[in-house]
Amino acid sequence: MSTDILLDRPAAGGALAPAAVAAVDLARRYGEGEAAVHALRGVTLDVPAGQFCAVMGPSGSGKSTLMHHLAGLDVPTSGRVLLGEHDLTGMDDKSLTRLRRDHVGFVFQAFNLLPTLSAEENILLPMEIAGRRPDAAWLEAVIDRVGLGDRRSHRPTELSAGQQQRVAVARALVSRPTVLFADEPTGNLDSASGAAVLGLLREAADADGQTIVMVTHDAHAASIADRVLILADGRIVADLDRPAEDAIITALHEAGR
Amino acid sequence: MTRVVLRGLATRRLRTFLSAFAVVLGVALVTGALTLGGALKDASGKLKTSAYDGTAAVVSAPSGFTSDDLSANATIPERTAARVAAVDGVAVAAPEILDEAKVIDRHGDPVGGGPYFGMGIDAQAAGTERVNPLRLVEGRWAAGPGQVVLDQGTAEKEHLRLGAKVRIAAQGPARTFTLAGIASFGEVKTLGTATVAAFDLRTAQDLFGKPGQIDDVLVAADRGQDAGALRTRLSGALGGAVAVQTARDQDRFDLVGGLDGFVGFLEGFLIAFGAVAVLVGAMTIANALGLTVAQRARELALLRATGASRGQVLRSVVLEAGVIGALGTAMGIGAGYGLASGLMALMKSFGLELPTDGLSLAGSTVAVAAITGVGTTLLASLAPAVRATHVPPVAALRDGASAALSPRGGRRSTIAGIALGVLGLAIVGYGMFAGGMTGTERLASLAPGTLALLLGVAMLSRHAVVPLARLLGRPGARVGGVAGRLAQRNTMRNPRRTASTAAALMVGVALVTFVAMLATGLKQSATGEIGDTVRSEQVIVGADGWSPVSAKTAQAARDAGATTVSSIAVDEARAFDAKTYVAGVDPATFSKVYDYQWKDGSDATLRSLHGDGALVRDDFATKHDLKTGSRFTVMAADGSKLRLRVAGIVDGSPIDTMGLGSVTVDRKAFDATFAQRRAKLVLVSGASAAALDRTLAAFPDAQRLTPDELADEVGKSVDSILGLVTVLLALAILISVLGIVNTLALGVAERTKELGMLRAVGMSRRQLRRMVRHEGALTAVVGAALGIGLGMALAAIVTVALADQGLVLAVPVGTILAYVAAAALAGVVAAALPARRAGRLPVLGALAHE
Ligand SMILES: Nc1ncnc2c1ncn2[C@@H]1O[C@H](COP(=O)(O)OP(=O)(O)OP(=O)(O)O)[C@@H](O)[C@H]1O
Ligand SMILES: [Mg+2]
Repeated sequence: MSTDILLDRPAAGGALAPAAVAAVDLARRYGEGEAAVHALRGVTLDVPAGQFCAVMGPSGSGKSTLMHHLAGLDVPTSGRVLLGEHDLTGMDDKSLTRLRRDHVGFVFQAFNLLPTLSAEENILLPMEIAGRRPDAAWLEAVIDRVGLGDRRSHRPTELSAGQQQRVAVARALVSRPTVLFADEPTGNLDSASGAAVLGLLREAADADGQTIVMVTHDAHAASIADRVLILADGRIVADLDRPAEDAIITALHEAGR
Repeated sequence: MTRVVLRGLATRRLRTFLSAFAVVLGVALVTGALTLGGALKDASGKLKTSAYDGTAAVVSAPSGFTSDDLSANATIPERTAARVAAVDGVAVAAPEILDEAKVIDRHGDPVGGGPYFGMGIDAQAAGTERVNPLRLVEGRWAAGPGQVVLDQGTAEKEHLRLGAKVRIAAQGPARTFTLAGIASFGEVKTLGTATVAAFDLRTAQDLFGKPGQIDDVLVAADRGQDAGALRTRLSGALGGAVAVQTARDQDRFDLVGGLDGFVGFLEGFLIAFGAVAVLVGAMTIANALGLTVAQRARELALLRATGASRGQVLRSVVLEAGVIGALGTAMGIGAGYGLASGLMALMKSFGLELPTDGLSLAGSTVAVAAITGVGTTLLASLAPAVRATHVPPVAALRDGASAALSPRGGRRSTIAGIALGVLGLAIVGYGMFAGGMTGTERLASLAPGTLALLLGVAMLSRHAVVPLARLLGRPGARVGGVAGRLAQRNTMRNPRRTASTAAALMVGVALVTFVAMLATGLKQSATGEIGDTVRSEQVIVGADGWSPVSAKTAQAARDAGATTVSSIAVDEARAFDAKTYVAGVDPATFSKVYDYQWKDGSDATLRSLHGDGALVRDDFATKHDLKTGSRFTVMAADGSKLRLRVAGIVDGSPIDTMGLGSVTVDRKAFDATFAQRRAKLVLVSGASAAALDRTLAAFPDAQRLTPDELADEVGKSVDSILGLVTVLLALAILISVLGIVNTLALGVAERTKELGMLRAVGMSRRQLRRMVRHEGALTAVVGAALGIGLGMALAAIVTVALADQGLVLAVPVGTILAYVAAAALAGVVAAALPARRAGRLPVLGALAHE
């Protein structure tokens, strides 16, 4: 019961624009004293519902760390995260797990499908874990959209890398999460497969108003997003609205210096 | 290379420990059996020395054989003692009576579990101490009709002080004696479950109904007199009316035949279970090493790529096994020594105390244990070691190095499995159905056949894992939700691994099932036999269920108002040079209360049984090729022979539930030949239970039961043996549970990334733990299912083969379901640690895991 109350607590601050996910002065330090690493040094950000937001930056700049915090996978040293109506501050592991289960979708660089399950079973896994019945029509639509109609009963080992990542995208979409997080979803793919996956994400944002936060190293990939954030040394150094690929490269170059 | 191996063992501490532990139990059982056996053999040797070695000769009635029944041996006249004393070179000639006398406790039950020695000896006579096995500890020797000396063990157990009143039951109703003294038997307080009550000679003659008679004369030689020469002289002087033997040959306390036999049996029994434990341990280790090889495939490939030879890889795995084996063996020997002292203490608490100078670990025991422990571990390592050499160096650069490992040898092991299984079946079948073998030989042939069959099925079991897991995982998948379903998939994921994990459990469960089935069949056939044959309302038997009761109980039954009383005496005999039992019945009354199932003959045959007529059980008839009208001879303990003619052949099982023996004759013929006067069984009708209990109160060593209660008693004794066997096999099952822990722990380690993903997409720690527990339970249930199937099949074969011996096929459904439940529980328990590990994984760390 108590967790329900906690989860249903409206986000503090009462922001006017309905943000799907927001961070307020988020800081994360790993380790203590001399060896301490400041992965995030005060990040404030607001991703409105329906936005496709790309996060870029040099290696070690804190992109993954930021995403993990927004998704409730890690707990900040200070600052807060608001996801949908929920304030993640002070949530215990149980509540965070439920929050991820009910509000978050993931696409990983390494696909992370269960080899024992068929493509369709993998897609349904998060729903199953949550004990929810999928909307049959929506399930068909998603499977159809990712182009796996004839492959639904195949095991991951029988699928190509691109197909596997499309299964992973379908898995993230099928529960209609508040936010879909993707960490370098095209990192392990050839350019054609990568383009297909990006297309799927773009379509989800356009057609369903799916909020997406995607970490990427690829300026071309980032250029299909609505907005590009550039991180350097744990801080947001640029916030670009529908930038062209060149603009992104320039901004990245500056951040890298 | 050695360093690589040792460091590997140190890092995989849990697995090293669990694998070593699989060796520990087997080695412990073997060590314990040998240590305890050695100590007991030592003890029985000492007992023989103190009981027999002061005695140069025993003069007793000449006999065909020495009966196990103390009261059934022939006596000699008391004056023989004087004739013996007169022989040159005899220093002491002590007349002795050795019969059966039960000490009755406060609750009216006999103390101890037999034998119940009742001695008559004039212990204070000069020189008697040289031949008397008893040594006075407290008080005085018994002198006069009201006095008795008891062994120290009995006196302590019953808290009896000098001067206490003690009831003792011998031939007639129990009599009360005063405790005059307490004695030890040689150096021990007592002999196992035996009790000793010693009287003076006159009292014993009266008590045992042997006036003017004695059982033997114990002879001590003059100083410097050669015992052998003295015996020759005694034989010459006394003539053929008596036999002159060494005390050991005569063995009146049954220390040579009985105690040594018991010790040997106990040792063999424990070693057999040790062997099962070692087998299961070897399977567990082979599995653990297989897992290690699979997990280290990449490392092995790297070693190969950097120039390590196949031989070096092979040696590295074998070395790993050697270290595990040595570790386990060392712990096992220590544990075995502890086990032996534990068993000693246990036996002591059951009153089975034997003299020892403490246990000692013999060099030979250590050697056998070391060879068993290290040897089996090394053998078990061969298959995984050879598999390790198949890792191609190029696998170091590729994913799925372990995948490259699995398919190899698949077909070969299938063929080998089929071959072994067929061989095992053939051995079992031959042993069961080939002609010309005794039941014991048939049962002995089960061991190698079963071993081959078990190993064969173990090798084939991976083909059964997927369908079994699909079927048996259903309830789990339903109850456990997504965790249950994922667990089911995980179990089917690597059938070879699940199979080798489950196979170890299969062995233990197969044996338990086999024993349970046979025990149930035995019980049913035994109780069925009682139900089919006994027609009396009540049965009087010994309080311990087997020893004969006073013949006067029949009169007591009549006093209680019984209309039909039929008393059956049973004595040991020799027929066709083998031990048999012969029953003497009164045909007129017996035919009213006992229904034979006739093979040849009818109730009229029984009613007219007389003279040399004998009823024989059909297995006896078949074995010795007897038909109605055939003639044969039986010999009584005193050597006298009874010539018999087969009057009828009756059905009955060699299990001989009621101990009636395989030959039945008219009581008159029996009494003319056999010394036994007491009743094995008195069948009574027409008296109320209460009245019988009242008149039987004077006979505390007898109990009254209804035929149903008698059947229950038989069932209970079967159950207690079954319980003991189950406990010992549970050790084997325990070892296989360690294997499940191993496999699950490895599964969790291997799938860390997967577990991280599951947590990221919203699986709770609880669901994750439940998944691992379900996997453990399902693996165990698959093993149990295989074991139960195999055990039932084996039991069915044996039952069919031994059907003519009266064994019936019975499936103890409740027991088997309990085994399945226990297996599932064991799986859950085995999963506890790996599940906890899985639940504790940090999500991000697990996701980043390579
Ligand atoms: N668990 C951790 N413990 C210690 N330091 C960490 C941990 N996780 C991240 N870091 C450090 O925090 C900083 C940011 O890491 P993060 O993984 O967020 O970078 P990134 O931007 O995702 O880099 P990449 O592009 O290489 O994936 C790095 O310096 C990293 O070493
Ligand atoms: Mg990163």
